[in-house]
Amino acid sequence: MTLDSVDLTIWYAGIVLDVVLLGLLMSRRVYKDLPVYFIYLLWSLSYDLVAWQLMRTLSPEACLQQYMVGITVNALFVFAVWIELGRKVLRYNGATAPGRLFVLLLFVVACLPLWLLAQQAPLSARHTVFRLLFAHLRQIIGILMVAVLLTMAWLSRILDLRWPERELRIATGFGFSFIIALAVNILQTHGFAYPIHRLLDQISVAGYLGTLAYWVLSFSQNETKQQNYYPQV
Amino acid sequence: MIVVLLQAAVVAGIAFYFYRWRSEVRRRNAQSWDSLLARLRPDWSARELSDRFLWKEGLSATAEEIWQRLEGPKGLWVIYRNSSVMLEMADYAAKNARDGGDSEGVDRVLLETLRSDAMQIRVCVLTALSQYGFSQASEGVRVNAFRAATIYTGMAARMTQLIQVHAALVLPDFVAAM
Repeated sequence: MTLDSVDLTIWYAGIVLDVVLLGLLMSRRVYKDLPVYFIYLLWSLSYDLVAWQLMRTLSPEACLQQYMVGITVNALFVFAVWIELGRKVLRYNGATAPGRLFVLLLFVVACLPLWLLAQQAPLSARHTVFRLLFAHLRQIIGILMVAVLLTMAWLSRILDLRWPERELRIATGFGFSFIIALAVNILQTHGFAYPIHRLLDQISVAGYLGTLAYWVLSFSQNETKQQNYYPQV
Repeated sequence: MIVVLLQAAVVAGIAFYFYRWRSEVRRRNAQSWDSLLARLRPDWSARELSDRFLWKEGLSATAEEIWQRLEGPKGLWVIYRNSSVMLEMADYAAKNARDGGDSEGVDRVLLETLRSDAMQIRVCVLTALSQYGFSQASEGVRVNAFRAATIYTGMAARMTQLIQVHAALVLPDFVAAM
């Protein structure tokens, strides 16, 4: 199996999983409860369809440009989904939102060690300015995503919050793909040559595919009802 | 090489932490009332803190006496753990009141107050314990322990009130466990 055929397989699998997941969310009317998450998946599907066509027609530099726009919009969508999840969890617990300054402080605390860690392996100077910019952007987004994940986990612990099963599944899926993406981003700063570098890219995309597959599996199951409050008397 | 190992360790650490957090949230979602009761620490009881513990807020002793009754850090640690369990109990009651079709549901303000109590207890206990680590039973330790005990009696009274209204059947078990 060549690297190109792996790309094609991953692309097809992504499209199929996206469509199945959107179908499941529509049949379960999840789009009413989690509209931002639903729109994010719609965006993801449409971007996958358009990007593949563009990659076959555009020059490598132009491809990189559209990819940079793509990952930035994607990151903004993911932030919006996390805000939606956070609000849902707070409402579920009947809790008020913590102070913005406190949340920001936690976020900065989460970002700092990750940022310092990424600086330990500076990006290769062999790249063109544009490629260097792209690598930096990817690294920054990867760090911010994991920092969001850590901030949510810390807040959830500090405020003793319960998570509804569905929202927890969405968070788990994101968490898995963020951690894979961070690992790949950090590895790629070590300047591996062509086949390994490309393979790492594919691992990162496969991580997101794993997330989609997990969501499909989760949403195709019924949520378990909690036991009755009153024990046997 | 050291940098690579350090990076791998940090990523693995984050993955492990995330896994632990998720498992804990799932455990919380799946627990029963009995398992919550069983998590209340039996090795120290707060009954001696006030005359009508569980029914009335406030303490009936000085900071010095409260420190004695707390048996030092032992009582503080039980307060810390139990406040977290009580908050889980309140959340559990709220969720089941909703799912069980209780038209009134658990009062949102009461839930918010319990959450605030639990947070304040944590801050007071952790401050008191860290002070105790440096200066044993100083004035500051006793003041923080007194504050934690005061909030704890209030939280326990509010919890009793919540159970009385929404799950009177399990009230005797709760009183016995506390």
